[in-house]
Amino acid sequence: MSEDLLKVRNLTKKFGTITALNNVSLEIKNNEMFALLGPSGCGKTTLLRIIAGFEYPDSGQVLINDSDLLSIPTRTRPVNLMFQSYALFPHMDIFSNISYGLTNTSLTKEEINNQTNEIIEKIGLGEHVKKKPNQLSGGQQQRVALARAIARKPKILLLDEPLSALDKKIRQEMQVELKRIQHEFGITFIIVTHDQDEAISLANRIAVFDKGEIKQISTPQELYENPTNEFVANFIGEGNILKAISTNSGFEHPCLGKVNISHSMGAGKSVTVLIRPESIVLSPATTGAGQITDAVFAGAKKNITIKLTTNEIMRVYADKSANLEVGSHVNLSFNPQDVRVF
Amino acid sequence: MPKKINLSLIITLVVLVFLYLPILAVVGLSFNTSSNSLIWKGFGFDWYQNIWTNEPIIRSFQRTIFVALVTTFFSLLIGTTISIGLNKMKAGGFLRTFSTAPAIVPDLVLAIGLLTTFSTISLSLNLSTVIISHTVFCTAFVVAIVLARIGLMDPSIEEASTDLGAGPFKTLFKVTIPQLMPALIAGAVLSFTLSMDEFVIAFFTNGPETPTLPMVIYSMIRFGVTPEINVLGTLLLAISFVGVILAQRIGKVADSI
Repeated sequence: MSEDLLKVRNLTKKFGTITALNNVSLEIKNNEMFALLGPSGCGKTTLLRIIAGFEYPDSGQVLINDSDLLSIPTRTRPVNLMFQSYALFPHMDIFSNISYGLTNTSLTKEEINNQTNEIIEKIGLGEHVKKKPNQLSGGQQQRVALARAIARKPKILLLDEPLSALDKKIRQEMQVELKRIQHEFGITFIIVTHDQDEAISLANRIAVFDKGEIKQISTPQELYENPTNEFVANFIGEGNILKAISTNSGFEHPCLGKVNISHSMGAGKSVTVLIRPESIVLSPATTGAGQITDAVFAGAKKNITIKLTTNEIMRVYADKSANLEVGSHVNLSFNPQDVRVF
Repeated sequence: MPKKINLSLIITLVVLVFLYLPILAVVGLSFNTSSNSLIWKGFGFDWYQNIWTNEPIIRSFQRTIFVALVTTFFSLLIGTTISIGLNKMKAGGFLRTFSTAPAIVPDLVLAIGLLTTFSTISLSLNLSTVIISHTVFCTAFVVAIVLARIGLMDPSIEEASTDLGAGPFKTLFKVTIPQLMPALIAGAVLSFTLSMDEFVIAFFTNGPETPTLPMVIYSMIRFGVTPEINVLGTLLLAISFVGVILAQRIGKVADSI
């Protein structure tokens, strides 16, 4: 048995003329926090629903521990889903909600009660067992949804936009809580989200989706530092994307001049350049490469917006004490190692 | 300063009197001890006692309640099944409209159509043809009510039940039906009261041996409004009222869960 718990191979799914998934392949390791990240309509939810058993692909394979997952009926798959809307049963109390999955097994009543109580205790819902879902706050409802989904001890827990409905403070609490629970129960988590912050803060690895295709699979840090294409560069973190012409040793941009980087794409081609806002140092100049159009104080730093002479807009983080006034001209410098070219 | 006349209050009162005076007249005159219902002789329950000994009336009353109960049962069963099916199929406006149309088709048209159908297949007219006919239009009302409720339901809740290992029957009875409960109760009360006082369709599709209460009242009224009719009217009103109040009570409880 390989260390990959779930293997998705060449999965394709079409809804009418729309291709939701186009030949998607990925591997998810045991005990991983894996995120499927992308804008809405990119196919990530379709993949989640195929794994859960609510959709069936047109072609391709999904393997769990090297055996076919798609031939297992939805109700007996070793996979559970935490719904975006929580989908708690409104007419049942919290205890019945959480024990519902266990009542569909061959466990005795006593075993069901014991296991349910154990989960209720671990997730910290003890005082609410007799309440109905609508008597709980959003954060508490989410805990119930989480407890209900892990009660059957699935091999994989699928989480659909787990933090999107919560306000900021509870989000941070839940992030910590999700990691703790994942660790404690030893379940592989697959998180679907359109929110890069959510993916970056939760996941060990992220698959970035666009238009039904995977653009890159990597750790959050790798995706930020070494995006392999413009879509990922744009989607993850804040970045400045510039159009430039490649040279034999790097690229040339009208405002930045010739820049030498470690690899070349061949001369004379039009290329895309990514420079992160924190990689740029500004120096005042009488006639510079650009003019400051906006400077906003943001705590430890200043967010500077610059309009280049090519009319491209760049965002730069500057020291809060830097004497940079709106309207003044600046030159930009950066370490060529921090630049990515596609 | 002249006192301002609250015109909207006056209009409201006039409309309320207009709406409720006829009903109050029926209820009030049902306690009249006189044998002529239009001459007030005194307050008493004479005619209520009298009704119990009037066998044709009591029998027709029993028939009406029986028809209403059976109609309610089948309307709920068929109407709920249709609603769940339409919702699952994600059926469009055409099928939905067709499923609720008998509720707005004129009673007379429905009655003639049903009578034609029954005689074409040579079904003898009796209480069962009344039940079939009432079920046709009551089902339409149940569908209208249940479809509205089912549309508000989060479709993920049924998926969650499947995801947690429940089969289709368990999902239906433990998850779907409990959530539809307020609509089912409303549908049941509506079916019962609609069937109970329904005259036109019953008149066309019933046999001569088994008249229902509205038919008996109609035949009595040809000789003028007798005190018995006021009593029967009051009883029907009371049953409807109790039904509606019960439904609201239970509905409130069901809605809060």
